[in-house]
Amino acid sequence: MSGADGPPALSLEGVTRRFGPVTALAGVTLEVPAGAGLLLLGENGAGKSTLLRVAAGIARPTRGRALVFGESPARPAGRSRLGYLGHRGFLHDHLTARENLLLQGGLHGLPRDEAARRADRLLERIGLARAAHRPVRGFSRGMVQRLALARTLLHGPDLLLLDEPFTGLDPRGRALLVEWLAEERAAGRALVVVTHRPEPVLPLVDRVAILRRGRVALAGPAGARSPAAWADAIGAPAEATA
Amino acid sequence: MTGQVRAFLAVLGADLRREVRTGEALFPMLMFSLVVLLVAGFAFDLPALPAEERRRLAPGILWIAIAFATLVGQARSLLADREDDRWTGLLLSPLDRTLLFLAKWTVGLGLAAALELVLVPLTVILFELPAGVSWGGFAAILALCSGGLAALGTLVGAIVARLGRGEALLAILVLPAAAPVLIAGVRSTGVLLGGGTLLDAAPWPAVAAGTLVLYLALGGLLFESALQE
Repeated sequence: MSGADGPPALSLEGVTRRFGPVTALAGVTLEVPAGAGLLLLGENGAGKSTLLRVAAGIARPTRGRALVFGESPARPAGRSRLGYLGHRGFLHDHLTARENLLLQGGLHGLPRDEAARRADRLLERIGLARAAHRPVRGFSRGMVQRLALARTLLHGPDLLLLDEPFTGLDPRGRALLVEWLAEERAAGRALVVVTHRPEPVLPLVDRVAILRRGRVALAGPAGARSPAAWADAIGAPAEATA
Repeated sequence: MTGQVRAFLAVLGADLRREVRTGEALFPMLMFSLVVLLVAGFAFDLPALPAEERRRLAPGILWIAIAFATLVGQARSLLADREDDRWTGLLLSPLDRTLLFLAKWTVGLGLAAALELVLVPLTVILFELPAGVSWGGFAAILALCSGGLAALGTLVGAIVARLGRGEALLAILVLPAAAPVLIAGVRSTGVLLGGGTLLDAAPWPAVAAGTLVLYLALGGLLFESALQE
């Protein structure tokens, strides 16, 4: 993990991303220091998911650049330090829950016994220890989401990029996730969360940014507004960046 | 063992498990190729043909069956990796893209080898081919041409997956580029079934080897660009 004087966990420098005639991101510049938390808000189509995909190195910026701890996420050194949870879980439904986690460990070059140790600990944590040896194809939506979260964390990333992490989770699952993210923050991991449920995430982050039509329309300290005020600001007219 | 080797083996292991547990690529490949052999047998009335005619027909039918069955297998793998966006899951790992390409190519080659273990003996029986064939040379041609087809299918499969397009595009892109491999396979097999050696089949084994090297090099160079949005 980088210290305060190291490179930021995530740095976007003038990132533009176009899909044909559609501009999903229009010159976004933002920085998440190592160990810090950022909540990204915005209406559907504002560019939040695209921003995370560019940050994760899955999508290439049309212009500008993304850096993860000073490394391009397109390079193995950058990818090894981030954990990304997208709209899909990236799970293999013919594999068991434990095998999916072991695969993730293998993909990140962990020795098998270390991957197994982490997998067992995570399965216990997410309440899936008893389903560890069941194929994922029989899992409910909530179980899949929990396993996808465990998969995201298995290799111990220093930067977590979470796109709608509460999707499919019941109240207990949501509470578990909030607790988990608080622990990750306390352990010094940086966090970028995209969600339509800002309330549980606001205490976990330092700053909030609102995207509108691919631009940062508003940004400021998380405590500067109440959760309701942040939610109201999503669709409000543009304000000066705080 | 380095992290990259572990990651390479992890991709191989996951795909191998999928195939062992579901047979979702190999089973349709086998069915398709067996139907091709069966239909060819009836269409050409094989028992009524002289041995020389059967020997002349066998290479073409064998390679048509292998080529289309390989395409079927690649399409199945493509669909499987597209489910739950598994391609993206693989792309998020620090695994070098060239090694990811080689892992997927190895899986494709393994499927082709499994298919050929069944298909070649059946072709020998159905076409009553001579036993005195250079089997070593035949195995080399099968490996070279199947390797070329697998490399091409892996690269194009990644492009098609990223574009979010279906199997039709896979066939449209793969088959024309596979023509040199298939012609090399047919011509070399014809010479070998006639009692010749790999040297007698020149230049076709060299064409097969050259296309294999070319498609592997293209895959190694272009796989990353093919996969990224």
